[in-house]
Amino acid sequence: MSEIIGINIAAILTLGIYSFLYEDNFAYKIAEYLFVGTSAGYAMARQYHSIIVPNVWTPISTGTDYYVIIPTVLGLLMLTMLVPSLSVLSRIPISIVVGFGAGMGAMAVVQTDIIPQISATMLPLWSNISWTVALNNFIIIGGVICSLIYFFFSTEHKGLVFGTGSQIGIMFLMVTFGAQFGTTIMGRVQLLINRCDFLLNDWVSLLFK
Amino acid sequence: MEIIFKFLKNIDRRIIFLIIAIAVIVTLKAPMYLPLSVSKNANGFLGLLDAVQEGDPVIVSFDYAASGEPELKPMAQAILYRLFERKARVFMMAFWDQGPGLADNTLNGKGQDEGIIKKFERNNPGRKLEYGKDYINLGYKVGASNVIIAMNKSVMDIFSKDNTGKPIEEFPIMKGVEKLKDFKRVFALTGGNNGLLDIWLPFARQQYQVPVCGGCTSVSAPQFYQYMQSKQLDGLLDGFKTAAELLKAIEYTDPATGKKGDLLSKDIHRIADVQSVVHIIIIIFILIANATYFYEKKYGRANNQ
Repeated sequence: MSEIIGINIAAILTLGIYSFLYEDNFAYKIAEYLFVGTSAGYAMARQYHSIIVPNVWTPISTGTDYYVIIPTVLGLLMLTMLVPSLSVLSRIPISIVVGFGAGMGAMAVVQTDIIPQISATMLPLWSNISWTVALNNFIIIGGVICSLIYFFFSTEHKGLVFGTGSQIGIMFLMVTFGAQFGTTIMGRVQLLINRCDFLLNDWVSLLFK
Repeated sequence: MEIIFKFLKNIDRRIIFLIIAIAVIVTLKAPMYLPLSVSKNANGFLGLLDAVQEGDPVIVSFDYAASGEPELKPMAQAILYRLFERKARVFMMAFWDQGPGLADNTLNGKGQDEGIIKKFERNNPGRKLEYGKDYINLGYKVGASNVIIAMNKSVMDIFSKDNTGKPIEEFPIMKGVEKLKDFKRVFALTGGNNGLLDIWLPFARQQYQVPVCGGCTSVSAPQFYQYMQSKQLDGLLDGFKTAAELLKAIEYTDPATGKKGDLLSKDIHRIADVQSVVHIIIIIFILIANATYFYEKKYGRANNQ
């Protein structure tokens, strides 16, 4: 019974959301607000049971780890933002989060993006490689250099190196945007198909059962 | 000619939506089952799954929400099925709060989907998958990179209990698994941030040298290709199409009939059909829009209203 109710609610809300394609309307707004509310509620309940209870409540209530009081107090200080006279205290946890995040982020970028990606661009253009590999490597190296030239703003984009280079860089960027547009369509269409499949096979078959 | 271009330029977008909707519904109801070939990408990923040996502990990370399920669930089905065939020890976890629930859906099914466990046990009559021995759901953890760093000190400290609240040291699957480095491979399925690209790749792969591969939604796929080229990612399933190909590449023998089959179900093949049809329609619309644009540019007579 609960599954039947669930399928009906899901189908009505799906149709409510898709009704926006015709024009903004009351059914869409109801579905949208319900989605935002239930998502926030679910996330809050999940965070409470997955984080607050095992990491804060259990260690303190059982007396196994009192050190968790320190991050808990820091976390609570974040809420002082809501009280203007105390909001300065929220800077303490924010500064810790920013400092930690910047440090971790910098390390991640250097060891994931900068060094390995530069290494991956240092490719052979000849010597013991087939012409197809050489062509592929040439496109990668040329694409990287020309795209970087396009984003080099200290010199006017004129002449063979900066003028032509930036023009070729634009072409590479356009191909990238085209690929992104294509994959975005693919992803969005997949969501549409999934919803239509649900409406046709789960909901309609339930209605005519 | 001018009237046609004028009509096409001013066509109501709702007519385009309607055409797409009709195409989806008609193709879903009357599928053609167009041929689907297995790409080099999907074959390469199958090779990674086949490289997992009996008893190897591997992580399958469900870092996506329900919105990513249409594309990522087929990947999860293929990966879990093959890992069970390889007799790997599968540790499921998530950096997204909906992940553990979606992992359970993939394993046990929901609605008309029977789930991967039932399918596997039907195709392999001698084997019964056991929770805590063959697979475990470690649940959701917040903390992103901190979790990876903590996992490399002690998995049991950071995941003291499984998704159902039982202490994980009770399960035989934990034998010999202490640190992140003990895992042979990570399969991360990611629906956006907090997943393969910003957690598993920089920390598990680059910091602790644990091999990482995975799958992503097609929207985010272009961000991942560079890591394939640099060989930081060993394999990538870039959207639904590659997931369908991987399912097709995984073959089995039906114990009842003795016939060979593959994991690509008619439902998924039908959806692949719809994708092809809708893509053709969208390409036609793009061509029409460009033709209208160039006609207007050349003759300047199209109505701007």
